[in-house]
Amino acid sequence: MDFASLFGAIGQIFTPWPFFMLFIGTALGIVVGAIPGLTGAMLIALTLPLTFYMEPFNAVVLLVSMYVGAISGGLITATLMRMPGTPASVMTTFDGYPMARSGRPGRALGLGITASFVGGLIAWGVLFTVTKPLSILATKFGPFEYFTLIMMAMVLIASVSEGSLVKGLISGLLGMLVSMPGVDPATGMPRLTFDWYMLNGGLQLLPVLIGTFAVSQIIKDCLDMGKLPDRAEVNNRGVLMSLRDFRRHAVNMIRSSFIGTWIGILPGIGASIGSVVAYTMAKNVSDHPEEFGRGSEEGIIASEAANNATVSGALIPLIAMGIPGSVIDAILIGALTIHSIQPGPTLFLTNGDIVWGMIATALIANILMWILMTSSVRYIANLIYLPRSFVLPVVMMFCVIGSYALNNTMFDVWVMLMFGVIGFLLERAKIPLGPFVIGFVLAPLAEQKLRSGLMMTAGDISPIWTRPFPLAFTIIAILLLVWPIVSDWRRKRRAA
Amino acid sequence: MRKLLGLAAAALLATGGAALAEWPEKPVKLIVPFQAGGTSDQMARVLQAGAQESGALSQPITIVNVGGHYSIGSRRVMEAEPDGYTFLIIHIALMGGEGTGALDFGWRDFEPVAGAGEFCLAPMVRKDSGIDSVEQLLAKAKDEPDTLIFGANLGAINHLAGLMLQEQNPGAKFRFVQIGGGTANFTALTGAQTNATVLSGAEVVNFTLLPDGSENPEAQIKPLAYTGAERFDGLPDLPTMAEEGYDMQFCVKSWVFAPKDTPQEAIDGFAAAMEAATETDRYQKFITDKGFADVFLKGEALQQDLESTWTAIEPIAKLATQK
Amino acid sequence: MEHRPVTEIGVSAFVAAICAVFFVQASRLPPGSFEPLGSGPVPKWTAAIVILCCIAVMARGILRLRAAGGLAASAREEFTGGRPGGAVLMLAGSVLYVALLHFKVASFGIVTFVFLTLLIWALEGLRPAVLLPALVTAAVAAFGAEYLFTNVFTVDLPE
Repeated sequence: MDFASLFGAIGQIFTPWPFFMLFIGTALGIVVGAIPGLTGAMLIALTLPLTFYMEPFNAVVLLVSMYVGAISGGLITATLMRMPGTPASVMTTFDGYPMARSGRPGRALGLGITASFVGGLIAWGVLFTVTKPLSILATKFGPFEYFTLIMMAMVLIASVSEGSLVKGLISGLLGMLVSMPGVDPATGMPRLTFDWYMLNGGLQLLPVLIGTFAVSQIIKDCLDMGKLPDRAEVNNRGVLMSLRDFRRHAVNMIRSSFIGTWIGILPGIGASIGSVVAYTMAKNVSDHPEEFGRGSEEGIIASEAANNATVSGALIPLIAMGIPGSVIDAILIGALTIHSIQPGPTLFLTNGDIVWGMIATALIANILMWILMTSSVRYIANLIYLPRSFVLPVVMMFCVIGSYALNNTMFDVWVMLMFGVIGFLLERAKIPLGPFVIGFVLAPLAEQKLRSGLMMTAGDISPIWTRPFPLAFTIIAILLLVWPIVSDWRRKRRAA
Repeated sequence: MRKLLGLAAAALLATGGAALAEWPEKPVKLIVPFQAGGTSDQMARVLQAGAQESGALSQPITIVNVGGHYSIGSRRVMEAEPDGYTFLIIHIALMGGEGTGALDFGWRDFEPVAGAGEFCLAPMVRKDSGIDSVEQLLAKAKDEPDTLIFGANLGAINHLAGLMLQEQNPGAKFRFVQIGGGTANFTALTGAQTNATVLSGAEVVNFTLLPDGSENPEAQIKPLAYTGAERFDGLPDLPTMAEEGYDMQFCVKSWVFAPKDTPQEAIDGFAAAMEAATETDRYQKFITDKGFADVFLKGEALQQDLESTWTAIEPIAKLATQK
Repeated sequence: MEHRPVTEIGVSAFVAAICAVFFVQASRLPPGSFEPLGSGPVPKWTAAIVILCCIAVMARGILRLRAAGGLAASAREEFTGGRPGGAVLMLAGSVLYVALLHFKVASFGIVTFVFLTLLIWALEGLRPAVLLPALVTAAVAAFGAEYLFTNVFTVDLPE
């Protein structure tokens, strides 16, 4: 464990510029996370173009603290309005809102905030201890290891995302497909460009991302405009948890944090799934399962501890292997490559300061989040009432600037609009968007690794089953694909 | 922010002083056909700031990054109005692309303006490979053709350099594998996924030396030679290819081009601004940090450099499209 | 509502059509020279699997349509509710806005100011009382962003 590097990075964060970034990032993250319709992914995608003009260290501090803030801010709206500010807080609405309605909003928010904080801390401990050893192991990973790992991740995302496996696959594979026009990742030659030179560079991550996540959300919000949610009054009573509370909820908090961390590590799936699994687990082992869904303290804690834990968890594969652990991590990879930093196993050697900056930010932003949230939760709750007919057009303007600024072509802006419509349509058909973006990011990597592997072995594909890691990843992927089908079939047979 | 204010002030002063000159009457665009942040982009921004500082140009230079494939930005300049207000900064990729057929246009479709900041490469192997010189590497590639795995970004600089290297010993043959740029190749070579690659001089320093200049004991790779005409300052013990007995030079410069039929006045004016920029302290510090050599070419010398580079690259680029 | 069979069938058909175009284009790519795959097969087979999945979704959708009492009934249920006017306004407004920027009709600030004012006002139902706040918001956002991006972040905004 490298305490010297950690303290070095912490020291650097407490200099004026990085600390300013940390403060702005966490605060903006909380606010945007709290406003339904604006998500963390949207905020980070729109901030990305601004970061090219920053020092890489400051850029990383800003983005990671936004990530921490956005995941946490969602609980405010989830608790007070039964509208998850971010998708990761869906589970919190089940118990937070009933508790808030029954006259204890401060208590509900306090439990959520503290659970978020503890979840973040525990996951951070894992991030700090595991990442470097894992990155050393990962240098031994060759193309076949990476290829099978990515394929496993893709199947995993498709199988656990909301909706059916088939729809998850459609989304993920469609994302892979639209990443393919442009430069062939294995030979550097343009392909599938329909003889149109603007497509030589392919579709860029940023416009696709802003389109699928921000623009589609704007369209959806316009459709729902006018529905005003019920509101619970906020007061500060009970925001701070007592020592007795900690003792009572310790087991649940720690268990949910570890579940969240582990799910965060699994490539491609993020906070939403983490909180669902931890919530279900807490309900299964609880002495009072009947309270879940009616204002259970355990439910709030499980959901919030787990969704914050996924943040640090998801940074582990990002740093150690260059594989995004969640949608937001996919954007972080984009941010690093903009600064000519190639995420991957040797990141500790080539850009140690950046890695330690990320790790230290994950810790300090978490602490700052706790301070900001406990002190200002009442005021943030009022921001929710900004009229959306004013907010959404302005956000649309930022979408246009954000997608134009990267490459200075209007082409990218059109791409953004197009993917806004596509994303909206996919969501209307209940096809989840998460796999789409992960597929878009991972496909070039998967194809390049597969074909580099074939170049190395002169066309021999057998390492996929003769080497231990690829074999294991392949088997897991096949099980994940087959399992839902088998269990579905068995259920039907039993029913018949 | 302070820097920006400074630039604005400099621009104001400059416009006040030289209002009589015909060109330039408005800001000049320098198109970087890559995303912001890469080496070409940094080079462009240092030249921009240097030209501003030196006061050689009465109007500011605006940098426009056009990302995606470099053909998009290059084509935009090629098709731009040849009025002297649009320039392109690019490197050897332009010739590589023409040679491999990735581009349907080439360097002769532009008006050359200037060339600056040169870096060269070093063939790399693992320390435990038992290979100590370029000669041994090529002998091995000849004895066991198509088995030594050479990590490259196919069709790009490191692939062309690898091909040129194997041509030094007829019959030698590497097995080229798509790995990517410098960092990716460093990772692959460190993990023994590949057997050889090339890295730029600055990357070798970065990846194999500690900040104080002594050898990093954790580094598992080593350079064999340097492809420049002279030894690299950052690695004074590393022999050049010529010293090792091979007539091979492979260096990469940043070139500035203008659209065909741009007025000579604008070409000369911009070249002079670039030259003035290379004389500033800012530029000198930049190239020292990056391990670039301090070269500046324009006019006839530039034309010759382009032609000789093309003569060397064209046949190699043709090879790059086949295995 | 649990399922939206009409939307699902429509979107799947649309996705399958996109994939079919990719499939045909990918089939025409030359074989690889460095390894046996080349540029074509990966996109080709990805497209093929998506098409299969889309067909599965469409088949299931048709079964559900029957259960739900036919196309018309389902469609009526799926396409009511919400304020489609708002969404259409937003989308059409944005397309027009981007087109104006693309063809450089006026500077970024002016085009954006007009876009924001009209859109906010329209989304508020053109109530006269909202015009002033809309104008103020639009002016602050449009000219503020123009200033911020050209002078502080030095982004080259669409002219």
